Formats: sequence, C-alpha cells, structure tokens
Amino acid sequence: MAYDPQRKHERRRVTEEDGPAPVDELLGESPAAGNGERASTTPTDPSASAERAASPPEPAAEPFFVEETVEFDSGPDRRLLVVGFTLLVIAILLLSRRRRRRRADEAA
Amino acid sequence: MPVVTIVNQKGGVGKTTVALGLAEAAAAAGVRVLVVDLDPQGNATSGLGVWDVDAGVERALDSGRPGALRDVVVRSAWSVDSSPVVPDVAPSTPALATREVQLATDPIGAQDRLQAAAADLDYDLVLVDCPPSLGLLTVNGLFAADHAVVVTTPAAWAADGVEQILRTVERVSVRRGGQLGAPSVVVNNLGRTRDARYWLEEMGKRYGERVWPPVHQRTAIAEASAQSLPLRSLGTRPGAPEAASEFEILFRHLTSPEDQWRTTLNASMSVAG
Repeated sequence: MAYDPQRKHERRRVTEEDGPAPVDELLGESPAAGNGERASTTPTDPSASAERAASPPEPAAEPFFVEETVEFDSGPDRRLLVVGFTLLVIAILLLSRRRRRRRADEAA
Repeated sequence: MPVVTIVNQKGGVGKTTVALGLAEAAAAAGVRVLVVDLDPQGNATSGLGVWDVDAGVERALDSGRPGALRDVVVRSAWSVDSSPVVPDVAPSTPALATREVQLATDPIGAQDRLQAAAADLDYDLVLVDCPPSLGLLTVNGLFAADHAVVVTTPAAWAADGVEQILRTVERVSVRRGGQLGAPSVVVNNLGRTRDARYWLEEMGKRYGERVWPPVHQRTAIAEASAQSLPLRSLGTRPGAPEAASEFEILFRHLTSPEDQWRTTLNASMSVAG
C-alpha cells in the first residue's frame, strides 16, 4: 500500500470561510479579493484598534468542516481481506460438515 | 531593481538558507545583490559574516526617508570564487523587534516603510529575508516585493503553513492592485524519507508549476552557515558543490523571463556578463 499520511485525516486547507486573513486584521480595510482596486495605504488607526478592543468579541467564524473519508473500512485492501476471510470461514465450515457426514456414514 | 522577498511565517524552514544560497548564486553570476535582513534574529547578517552592526534596518525604517536603506548597507565578509561581486547586506539587530511593535501605531505608514527605504538603490537584485511571523515586518517585506518566494520543508505542519502564507501573499497582492503576482514555493531540506517524498509530491499537486526544484538536505549547507561562508568556500567538501548547484538552478528560475521584473534582472545580468 502506498504511503499516505492523509489517508485518515486530510490536512486542513485554508478557505475564505476561515474569516479575515491575519494580514487583513493587521492592516484593516480589507479590499474584496480579486476586485483589482488598490487599497488605501493608510496605517492601522490606533483609535480603531482601541475601539475593536473595547467592542464585544465577534462570534467566531463557522468552523471549517472537512468531510472525513473513512478509509479504514472502505480501502480496497481491507475489502479484499474481508472477502478472503469470509471465504475461508465458509470453506472450513463446509469441510467440517463433510467430515462429520463421512464419520456418520462410517459409523452407520 | 527587482526585489524578491523570501517568506514564511513558520520558523526553521530555511528562509535564510535559501536567501543566502540565492545571494551566492547571484554573486557568482556577477549580479550585484543586496540582502535585506528583516529578521531581528539576524541570521542572514551573521551568515554573511557581519558581526558588529552599528546601524541596522530598523534605523532605515525609523527614518521614513526614501532611500534610507543605503545608509545602513555594509559589504558582506564573503568572497565568492571567480566573481568580483560580493553580496552587500542591510543588517539586522534585535532592536528591529521593538521597531515592529512601534510600526503598528505608526502615523506615517505601517506597511510601506521598507518600500520607501529601498527606493533608488543601485542593485541588480534585492533579496529580503523575512522573520518567521505574519507581523508588520513580513508585511513590509511583501509590500516592497516584486516577487515572493515561499520557503517550506517537506512535512505536514510546514504544508499547513504554506497555505497560510500563500493567503497572506494573495491578500497583500490584492492590496497592491495585483502587482505582486503568484508566489513561488521552494521545498528546502528534502531528505530521503518516504514522508519527505510524499510532501514534496503533495506540494506539486497543490501548487503545480509554482513549486521550484527542491533543495536537498546536506550537511555542507549547515557547515557553511555555521562558518559564515558561502558554499563555494567549502571547496570539494562532499555536498557543497551539489548544494551550490541547486541554488544556481533556483536562481535561474528567478531569471526566467516571465514578468517585467525578471526582464529587468536579465538586462542587468547581460550588462554584468
């Protein structure tokens, strides 16, 4: 099986749903991504920082949801093992049944 | 004068190693190169053999005067064989850490201080080595840049860090009206483990052609840093020529003619050659 450290847990990727980038928090006045407008180069206003500190904290952004793929049960190698094991159990049951019949026949 | 900023908020990935490797390759090619050390730890400064710093980058940032960086630039102690050119350095001191805090409430301009300080410098290439943070020093490095190079290592946590810094670069690029463009990614310290190979391939899948050839893990690189020497000074020390060659390959990627700033750099190189 190929080495894949992300088989059980895929690494979390950054998306816009994560909320403002730290650099936007730092500089303020975040322009919309991709609008091509040059943003104001005024520095972070200290009074604005103080206002932000005084205001109640904004609700946290919705957590980024990563749908986990349950590779443990659905991997092709696991499936092969399960099928193989089932066949083995059936074969053992059939053989023991056959042996029991033979012994019964011999006893008769 | 193209400005290339070497960046990643994650520490220990080899930003300074790549910055100095590129500086060496540039100097060997006859390119007049300046290394701006924006990291208060000053590893690029000491790596270039500069130990006694009178005035560092923080003074140039303090000044706010266009071209103020020129006043603090010193010649490095390197000598690169077969090249008359030696990198210069705008050195760093621990005082730079204090300056970063002051920048946050700067009434003049928090993010383009370095851009102003680096105006009208007479170099073919300026390499900015950023600190391992997403603070205002890194932001200044990105606002001054024509191109950003994200350095990382082939590991899971480092891959997470690349996501973050690429987003930062993208946001700065938006603020600059798209002038910064898409950054490149350099995978440094590539070992021979399957995990390292996996993460290198993962970077390739995620970022495609933005991923430049990797720099392999070599003891010679650590030895050169420890002795404040360029790799070429180690002579035939096993791994040193190979490492120097890998940085030359990276430098050639810097000079691939795609953007205006690369054309400028290529023009400088043909004059130097």
